[in-house]
Amino acid sequence: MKAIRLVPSAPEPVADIMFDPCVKCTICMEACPVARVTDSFPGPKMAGPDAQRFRGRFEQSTDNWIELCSSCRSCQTVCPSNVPIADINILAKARHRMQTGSSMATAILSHAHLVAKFGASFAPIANKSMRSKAIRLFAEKLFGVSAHAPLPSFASKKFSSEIKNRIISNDRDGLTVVYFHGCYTENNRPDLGLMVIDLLERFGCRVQVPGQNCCGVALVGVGDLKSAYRLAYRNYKKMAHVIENSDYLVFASPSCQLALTAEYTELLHFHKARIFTEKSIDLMSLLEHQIEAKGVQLPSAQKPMKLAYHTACHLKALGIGLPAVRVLRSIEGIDLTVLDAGCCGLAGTFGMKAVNRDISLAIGKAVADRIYELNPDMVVSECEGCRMMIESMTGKPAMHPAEILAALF
Amino acid sequence: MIYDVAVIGMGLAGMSAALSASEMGATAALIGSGPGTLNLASGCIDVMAYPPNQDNLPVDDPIAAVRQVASEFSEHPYAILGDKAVAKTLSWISAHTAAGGWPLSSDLSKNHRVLTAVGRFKITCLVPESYLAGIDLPLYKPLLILGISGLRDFSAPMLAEVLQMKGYKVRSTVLQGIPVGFQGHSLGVSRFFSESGIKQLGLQIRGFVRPGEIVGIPPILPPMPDIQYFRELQKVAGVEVFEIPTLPPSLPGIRLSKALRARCVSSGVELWEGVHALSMEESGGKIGSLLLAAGPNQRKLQAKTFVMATGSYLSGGIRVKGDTVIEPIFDLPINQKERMPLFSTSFLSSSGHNAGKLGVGVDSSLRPLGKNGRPAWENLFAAGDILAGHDPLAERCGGGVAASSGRIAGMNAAVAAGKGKKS
Amino acid sequence: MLRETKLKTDVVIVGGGATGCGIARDLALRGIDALLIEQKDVAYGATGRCHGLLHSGVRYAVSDPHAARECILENQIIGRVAPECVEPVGGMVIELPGDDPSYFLKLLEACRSAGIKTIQITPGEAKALEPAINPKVTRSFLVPDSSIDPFLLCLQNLRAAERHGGRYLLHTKVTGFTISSGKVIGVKFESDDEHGEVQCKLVILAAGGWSKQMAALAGVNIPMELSKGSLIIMNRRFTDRVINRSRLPSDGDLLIPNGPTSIIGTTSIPVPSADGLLIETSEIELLMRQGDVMTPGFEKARSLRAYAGVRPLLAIGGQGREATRGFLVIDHEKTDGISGLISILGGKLTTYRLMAEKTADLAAEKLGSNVKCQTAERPLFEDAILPHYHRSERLSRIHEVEGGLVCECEMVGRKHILEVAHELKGRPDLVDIQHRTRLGMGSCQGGFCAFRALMILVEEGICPPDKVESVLLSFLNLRWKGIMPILRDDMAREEHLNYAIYASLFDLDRAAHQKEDP
Repeated sequence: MKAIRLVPSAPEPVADIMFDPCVKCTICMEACPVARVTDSFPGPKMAGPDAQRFRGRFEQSTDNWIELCSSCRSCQTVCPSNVPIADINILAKARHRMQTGSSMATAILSHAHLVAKFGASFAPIANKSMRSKAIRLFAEKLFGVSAHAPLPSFASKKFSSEIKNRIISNDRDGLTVVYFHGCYTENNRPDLGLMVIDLLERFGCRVQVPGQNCCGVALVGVGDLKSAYRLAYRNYKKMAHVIENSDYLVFASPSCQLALTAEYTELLHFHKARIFTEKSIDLMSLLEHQIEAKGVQLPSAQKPMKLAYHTACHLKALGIGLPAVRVLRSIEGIDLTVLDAGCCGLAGTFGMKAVNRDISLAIGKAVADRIYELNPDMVVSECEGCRMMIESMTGKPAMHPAEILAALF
Repeated sequence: MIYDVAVIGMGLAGMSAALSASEMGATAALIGSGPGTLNLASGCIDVMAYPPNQDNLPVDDPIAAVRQVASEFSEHPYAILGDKAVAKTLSWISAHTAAGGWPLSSDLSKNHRVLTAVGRFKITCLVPESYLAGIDLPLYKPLLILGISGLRDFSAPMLAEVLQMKGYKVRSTVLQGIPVGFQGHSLGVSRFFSESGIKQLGLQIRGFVRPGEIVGIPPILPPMPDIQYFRELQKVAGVEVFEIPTLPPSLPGIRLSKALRARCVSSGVELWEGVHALSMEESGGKIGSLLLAAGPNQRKLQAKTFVMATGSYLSGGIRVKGDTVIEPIFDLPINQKERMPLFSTSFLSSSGHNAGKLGVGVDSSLRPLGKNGRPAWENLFAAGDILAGHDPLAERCGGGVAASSGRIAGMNAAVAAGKGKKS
Repeated sequence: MLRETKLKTDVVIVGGGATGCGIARDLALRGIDALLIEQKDVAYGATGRCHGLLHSGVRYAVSDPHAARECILENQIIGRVAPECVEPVGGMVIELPGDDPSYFLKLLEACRSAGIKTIQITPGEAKALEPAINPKVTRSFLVPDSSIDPFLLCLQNLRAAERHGGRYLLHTKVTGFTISSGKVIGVKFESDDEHGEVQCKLVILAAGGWSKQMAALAGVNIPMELSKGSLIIMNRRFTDRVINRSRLPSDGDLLIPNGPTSIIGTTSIPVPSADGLLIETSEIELLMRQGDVMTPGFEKARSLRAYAGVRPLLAIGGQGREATRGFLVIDHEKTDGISGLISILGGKLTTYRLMAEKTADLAAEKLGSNVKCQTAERPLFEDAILPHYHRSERLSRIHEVEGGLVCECEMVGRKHILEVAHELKGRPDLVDIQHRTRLGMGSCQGGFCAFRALMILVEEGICPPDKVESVLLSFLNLRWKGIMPILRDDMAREEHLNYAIYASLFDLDRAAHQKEDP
């Protein structure tokens, strides 16, 4: 699937302005999980602000290594000069992709929302296939999707179907929130979405789940900005009106939140998405707020639990602190340690590509080692990708903090 | 959530403040974009090497120098902190880094000369264990400087030649065949030295070294706060080994930063990474909250007290706007005199630059002063490079000031928030 | 102790700017023995401190049609024979609101008369080609301006000259001339480690802004005016083309892409000497403002360095900018009664080859040679093959850069440095390395790579250990002179980082004062 055409790339003049503040301090180089484990990726400083000065607008992209950037955004998170390094790298990916196309694995995985929809419609067969070693190996040979990378199984009924039968509370006094659930809840874990709604309602929120589609974060991550833009636009058309009349837009998945609240405006230049940014809040911060406002005391845990919390890279990129840690630590019977061990290595769909499997494992090793060292009962993380990767690396059950909370009641 | 103490800045001062506040039972938020300048510095903690207005001779006794500076320069942060607080801080920091897996020497009685990659010596006080064998090198001590072919920030042959010229008994050898990657920087090389690589290196050293020699290596051990890598290397090598700092990325600096960060995390400090503090909001005559931004996402963070450890120019704690220097978050006055040239015409001279001495003035509790000379905000404290009255780089006192003012500011903030009693 | 040297040649060329180096090659190709002496590194004067513009001539079309015609012809020749030094970026003239509307058509017509190819485009097309330009552009046309690397140009000429028997001495000052019976027969010189005399038949003064001083050493007066022009190098490339304004050339209205940077210039202030140039804050402010008019957002963008050069103008006909930019070859035998001495004055970088040709013609005539000039046909790279990579080529090669990347900002590899290091002839100088490789010309202005390059020089035996600190300090201090005038937020932060490395870590701020340790 390689078609070479010389096309002027997406917003170059904007990209030019971005790298001026870089003083070459090298702090981003140390933060990059990919550069730490492989020499093939030259690191975020070189890939971003260094190389951008050399990228001619109408020249052939020579960034053949740019697909090794996992779009984890660790570089942009730590940059003291406020250089949007990850954004620059994604724009470079977009430019490269426009000229040289994508590998099949990249195309399939970035369109995971379509694959997942299909898979969920045929859940029993899809799940069985994914468990079959032979089929996974065949898929790796044919599509480049790693035979060993964790893939989520599909639910028999999609989330949007499930909530058709559910009565959404009409508590007029409560906060009105719109819940953006994302593909994982829709196709793989609708039960998680139901838990989220239950929790929100329990703590005084009136929840609406308007029609919505995939956030497009995987497409942005591989530089397929055109396809991502279509998804962004459709999300806007479906949800903007409802959100305008609501108090909050709530997310339980950090990557979905990142896409809608930051990437839509910064990378896709879809400025109407400002409404998403302005109204957004993550689930745990909202629950904490409601718990404090209502002066509620959370019940104790049914049995003492030793938990380890894993900070998703995209959660750091949101700049929200660690609300899940605060809420869970307020529960009696819960002993929670923050792992702070870096990137799990999956980076969304990055680690699912066969070519990246070794890199992915090398990155996640630090997290796995820390978990072995701590030996918790469970690992907690808001990010579904991290949970899948951690479970597959360590065998420990990995839960969304909402699941821990839901179990209290 | 309303924190007891919110600390802005995740460098040495910020981490010290958050840690000390947390130790006093305060809930602490540590806000910042990244690890601060620790990643770029040598991993040592400077206390005082070149007191202001003195000859170019470095001082031998850092704590005595602190006392002297405190008595002579009333605006120097050391005058506010006092030598006892500084000494206590250094022990406190050493204890923490040791607990974090990366011990610093605890000898505060004298400054040490640490060999650097250019062949000059950095005068500093607290050094990591991996530097110890090489501090205060006497001329008669035979040295072997080990290089790695392709490592671009370090040249063993050059260093050996320069030291030889200065009268040292030194030779060099360059190891071949170690995968350095196409960029040849220390981070890439350190990949190789994680497990089996250390053993290999140790054996190679053992093979090359002559009796009586000690071995200087570039800083290529893993950037993890785990002294075991170094101890294992020395054990296998069978000789004393010491690291020699060079250009950033500084692996010893990264290790120190990570060690302190781990201490913060295990102490219950909550990290708010990836955010820049834009401005503040008042509430009832005090600072009520900070406006934090991560790209287009903005969040308000509420706290009872605040510690600004925002650093200086590189970290954005103070900014140059034309001929003026400003403090961008709280708009605090900077001690810049009228018509004072910010920069000297010579880049590197012993008098440094006026810009280096600029910052916010503080009262005896480390509360920054407003335009009227009184504390600008009752619940705001300041620590680190942002403080006026000292030149952290030219004097080589940045680390000591940062850690000490950080610890004291954190304590004062915790007390002001109603936690613990003032010491 | 300075070594005493005695040399002998036919021609001594004083000055290693473009003209001097061009003459060196021209004479060498004619088989004439010549020695070039230059007080610093190549292109120290106006050549290395100009815009780096290979003129199409559009800037002179109205005011000096003869010069314009000369420019376009030479532009085409140099583009053909020295493509490795040229980036054929093209130029654009933009008319903005407030410009005299009659000038545009006048300029177009003048270009056509001068033989400068023009393509008129709509404002929409102009903005599509160059999105950064002022969106209020009213009219526009394209011209064949190019960007040229003046250092590479001089070096290639010198390297070519050397291959054909020529010689050169850099970092060597001419201290006097030996005159016997009204004839110049020798040149006295001095450098850091030697002094001596060259016996010769003819001296050519191609000393640019120092011509008056040099001529005075021979007892001759040259009517010259010196006009200082300051320029600023920006961190990024704003436009892919040279941007000209539709008006008579004035201050700050030229924006040129140069590798991954853009250069804005220039000013015009009379000065008494080519040495000790200071850049005023008012010049910086003017340049940034004018840049902002051409490309909005310019004023807020990051600048890397400011520099100033001196235009050596003939003091006939007007002052400063209006003084003729044509050139003059002076046969001092005819004008001053001193034989064995000729001077080449005035001109611009674009016409260097023509200036060298005319000077070499006169020199050849005086020496009785009738070999014709070949520089208009013979490719420059035939004689001097050293790699020089265009912008995106360098990016595509980062994994292959042999020996590793030394300068990350400009993507210069170790191998490249080793290749040029021998040209330093044992005199370690990081600025010379910079001129030959672009090392340190990027965002950090050599903050990191200077140290790395120094280590390479020591390992190669070019820098002895006792010079390590002085070489590094002299680079850092010279660099600082260019950065100080533009020290704003971003660059101040960069310098803070560099100061932390070189002072706090390497203790170099105490090097000048302390005795060697322990």
